[in-house]
Amino acid sequence: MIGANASTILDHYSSIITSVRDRLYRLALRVVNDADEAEDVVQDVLVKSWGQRDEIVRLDNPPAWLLRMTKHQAIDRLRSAKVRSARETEAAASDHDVRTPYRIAAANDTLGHVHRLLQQLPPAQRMVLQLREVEGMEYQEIAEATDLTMQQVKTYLHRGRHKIRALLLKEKISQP
Amino acid sequence: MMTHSEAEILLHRYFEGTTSLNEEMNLREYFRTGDVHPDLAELNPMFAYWDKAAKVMAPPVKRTAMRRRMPLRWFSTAAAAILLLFAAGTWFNDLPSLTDVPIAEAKTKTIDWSKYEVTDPEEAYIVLRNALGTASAEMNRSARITIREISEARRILK
Repeated sequence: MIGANASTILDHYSSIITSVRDRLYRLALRVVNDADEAEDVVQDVLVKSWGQRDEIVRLDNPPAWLLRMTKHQAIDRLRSAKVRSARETEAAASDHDVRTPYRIAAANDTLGHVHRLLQQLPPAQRMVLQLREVEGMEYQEIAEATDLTMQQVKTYLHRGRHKIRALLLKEKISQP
Repeated sequence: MMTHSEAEILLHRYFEGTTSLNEEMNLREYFRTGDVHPDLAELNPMFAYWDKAAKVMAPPVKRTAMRRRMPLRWFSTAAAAILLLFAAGTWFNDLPSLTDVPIAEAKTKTIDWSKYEVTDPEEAYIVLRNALGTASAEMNRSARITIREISEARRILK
């Protein structure tokens, strides 16, 4: 009987993770902006969630819980990466030449350029934009997943959309 | 198919943050057709970017992920422990067994502790005070080392 119950929990937990894993990765990637770091964030979240699988399967909205955890982990990573980067910048001379061949080629890629514009926004705005524009989530769901109020979600979304449009106009990017 | 004026009205509401998910989906569909009015073409890259971002998938789960993430010092500790066990095992094997030591010889080596016993209360007090003094000094030294190491770490992290 206990074995059957554990098996049900495991099946339920596995199906939740399968359905949400890509979303967790995309959110982590939006925050940390590095594929390896994002993968590590998701790995950490999955390892931690495994220990709490009994509670997770009983939650009303397990994906919101997992997204929230991903957000926290990703922001922690971002902070430690910033500390690392600051130390590395101190140790190595900064690169003042912005016209390297790689950078010129990258700047010509329109969608890549939109990505870079987006990364200029604060992490909270990026997350809200990601969850609305990419994941197609309702305001209430975004609020639950980010620990923000509904009003904050609407404000960040409004600001984020306006900022992206302003940057697109400023950079004069017209075609994808 | 959405007309240019419908798209314009919807876009206005989109930037005000009053569109529903369904309306936003219709807007996205409008931009996907490629038949976008030149006045709105400036927003093409943004909607194209969201479409592209939605296709990003998590890489397959690595079976070796846990092993990769295990800190190197764990391996070092485990290796050191195994080496110590091996060395200890070899050393114990090399010792003569207890039955090899003649009982008579063992008896002759008995230490007479009574001659070291402190009987004078004043001397006992001095010995105790010295022992406590040594312990105290060592404990203070540990604290000083800890403070010094923390200060050094802070200096490096600044």
